[in-house]
Amino acid sequence: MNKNYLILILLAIALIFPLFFGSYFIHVITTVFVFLALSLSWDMMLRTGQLSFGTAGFFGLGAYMSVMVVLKLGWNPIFSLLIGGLFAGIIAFFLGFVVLRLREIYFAITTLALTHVFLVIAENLSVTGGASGLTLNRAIFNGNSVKIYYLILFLTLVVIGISEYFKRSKIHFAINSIRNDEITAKSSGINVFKYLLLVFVITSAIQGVIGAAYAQQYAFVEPSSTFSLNFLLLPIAMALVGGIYSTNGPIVGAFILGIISEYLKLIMPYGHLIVYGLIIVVVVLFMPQGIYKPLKNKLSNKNIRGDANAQSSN
Amino acid sequence: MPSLQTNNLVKKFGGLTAVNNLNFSVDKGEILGIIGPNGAGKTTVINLVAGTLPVTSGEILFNNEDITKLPSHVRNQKGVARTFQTVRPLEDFTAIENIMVGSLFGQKKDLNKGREYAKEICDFLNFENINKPVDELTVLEMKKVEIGRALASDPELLFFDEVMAGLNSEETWEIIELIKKLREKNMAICVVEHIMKVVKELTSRVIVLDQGEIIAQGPYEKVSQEEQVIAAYLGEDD
Amino acid sequence: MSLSLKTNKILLLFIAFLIIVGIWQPNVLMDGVQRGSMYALIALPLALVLGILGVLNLAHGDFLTVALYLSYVLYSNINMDPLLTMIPVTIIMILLGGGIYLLTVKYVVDEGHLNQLLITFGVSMILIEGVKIIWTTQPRNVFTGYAYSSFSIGNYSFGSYGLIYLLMAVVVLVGLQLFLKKTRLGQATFAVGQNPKGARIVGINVNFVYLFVFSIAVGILGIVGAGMLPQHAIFPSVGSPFSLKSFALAAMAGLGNLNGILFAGITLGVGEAIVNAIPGYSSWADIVFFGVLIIVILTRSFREAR
Repeated sequence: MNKNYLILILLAIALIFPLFFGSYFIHVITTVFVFLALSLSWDMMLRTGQLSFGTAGFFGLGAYMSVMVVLKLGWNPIFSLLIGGLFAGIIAFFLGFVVLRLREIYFAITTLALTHVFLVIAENLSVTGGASGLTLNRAIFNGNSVKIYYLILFLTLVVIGISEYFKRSKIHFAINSIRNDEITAKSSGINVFKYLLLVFVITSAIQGVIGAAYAQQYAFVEPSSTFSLNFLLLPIAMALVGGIYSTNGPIVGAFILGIISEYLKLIMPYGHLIVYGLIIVVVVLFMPQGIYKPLKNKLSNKNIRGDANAQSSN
Repeated sequence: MPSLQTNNLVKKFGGLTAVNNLNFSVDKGEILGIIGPNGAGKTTVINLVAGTLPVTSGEILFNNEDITKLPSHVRNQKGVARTFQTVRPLEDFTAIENIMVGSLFGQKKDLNKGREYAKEICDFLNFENINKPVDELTVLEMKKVEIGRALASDPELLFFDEVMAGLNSEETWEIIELIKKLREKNMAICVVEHIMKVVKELTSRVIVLDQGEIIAQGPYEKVSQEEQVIAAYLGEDD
Repeated sequence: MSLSLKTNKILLLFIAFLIIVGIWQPNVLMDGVQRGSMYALIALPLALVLGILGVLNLAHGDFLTVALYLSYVLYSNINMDPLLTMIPVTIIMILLGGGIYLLTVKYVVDEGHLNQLLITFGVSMILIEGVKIIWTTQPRNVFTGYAYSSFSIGNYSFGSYGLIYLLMAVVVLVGLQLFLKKTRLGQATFAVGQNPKGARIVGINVNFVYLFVFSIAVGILGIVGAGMLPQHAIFPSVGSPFSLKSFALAAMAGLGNLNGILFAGITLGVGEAIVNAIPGYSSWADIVFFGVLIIVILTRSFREAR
């Protein structure tokens, strides 16, 4: 089947989906998209070779900024999404000069520590509502789940577009080279810092916009739930399961994990997230490439000759 | 005006002086050899000129421009390129994509022109399997990719760091011919080598490094007879 | 092992810092030392695993959580004194650590950091959520008389229970030093930490050393957990913050510097206690660790770039 037809069909399904299902399902899929977008943004940074644990931090920055401008300045909620993203991006820009010289564990831990710092700051300033946070008078679109769905769908499609652009343009060569061998990349004319900063700012801005959208949907921010590490752990698990360094991987992973966890939430009163932990371990041990690529290879091989010896790309 | 000129180049690692007051130059259309026993500082010199390592003191002039403080990617864009002693292919790419990195960023071409240019380089190098993933290449092919990536940035000054290592006689001659062709294109070329027949064949003059200093320079025939040179080589385990 | 001039200076600064705080607010000093010793005690096993296996165990704090719950179970079901539970809990934790090592960590010791971080991440989630499944999210508490014991010096009275952490930290530290230097297994462990490939070549069973170190590290958390039980409320995420704080101490002290962890722990513990004591700013106390961690990592990286 032509890949483009498949994409169009999926897109069509996504667009008409709300017409056929009730608000519970719409809500579930909306949440899947939120985490999908976060997962993609994490993966985009990972492609540069940098493991970031800061997803929840920038998510929270965008969430808080968006709620604050709507609550205190009366700005339009949709516009506040942009503000949230801009704020997160600007913070990332300045932090980048300091933090992007770190590598490996140190970069990861520092971004995690920064998330905690943002949390403590939000918890202590009165302008951010302190420990109880801030509540909006009303949710965006007055809580209309269908409109919210389309908004988040739109944002997710934009993020998918950015991810694909990163994979198909010249930037792809820079990012891959930096991940593979920074010294060689530098010797070949790549301004490593510039590209790292670019990706860092863009992915942080994405996380900020998504955080803002989430906050507008639920109409409140509160330090421990807005900066919750779930917004870090779950996207990572999704990208891992689906397959890192790709656009399709996080998409597949988000749907698989999102739906499984939703089902588990119904039958397990506590601890349904355990499935995430188990899947992460299983994937790292047995399927480090994730599910998507090996599955895709298997399916396309079946079309050709069903021979298991066909070449599989790395 | 020489293409490359170093003035009193010094590199210290803590208490260890790897390069000590080094002064040398390379002209366009010339192939300079850098030889010397292991640990003499030859690769360090390349790292300093290419910008992979910062200098402790001294100057590096490229076409009379002071590039001492410039980051390595800028130097590459200006025309300084090098190969690595242990080949460093970019693993997630095919052969031609590896080479494209040079033309895309060393030269700032767009995707299409960058790919075309890389193809031309491949033709020049007699490299056919351009779409093979890098982990399936032979030693010779990997060396060509390494050289190709450096060439793709359209350099004026090119360093080869022990590029013949691991090649058999025939393959060595192929690379020698390629390097000679580069000289005809008026590139300034610097060859760090251990294999003396290569040095004899390619270079018009050599500098001999020992413990970070030049102990002799001149044409290979003359230099290889000098006492200190022989002592420097024989004085170490081999 | 003679102390260099730099270490001497830092030691003097440290002592001066403690004296100043002690004179200003003795309660803060006592609180800080007790808290800091607890942090150091928790950080030591993480540093051990990081130094010998090269793996940063993100599930570290969650093992502590499990230890606390195990201790609680023994206390509430068979009325065992919390401090006594140290013995059975430590044994169980050693077995748990060994089991998890064999199932997961063993396979990523030789791999890149990404896989290591991800797998310990996964283990962390499994532990937290597992605890939630078994014991729900309801906080638990334990009441013992001695948790509130105190002693007085002059006009000041101090809680004395927390000194147990200082005692345990010193014991564990001394124990580890003796182990590493005086026992054959310890020397082998040290060798593995320095150079695993070399150690393998000379015949050391590196896999066993890894298993041993990881299990003991988790076992130490059993000791700490039992010790913490009388004073801490227990809930599924009680141990999580300690993962990052432990790494902060290990990073501050520098790889391989176990003694430094005690000093770093006390310093940061006192720092936290100071902020805690400032009226109106007490909730900023958490930032001490994270702020210092970030500063330490950044200064190191700037210095390396020279």
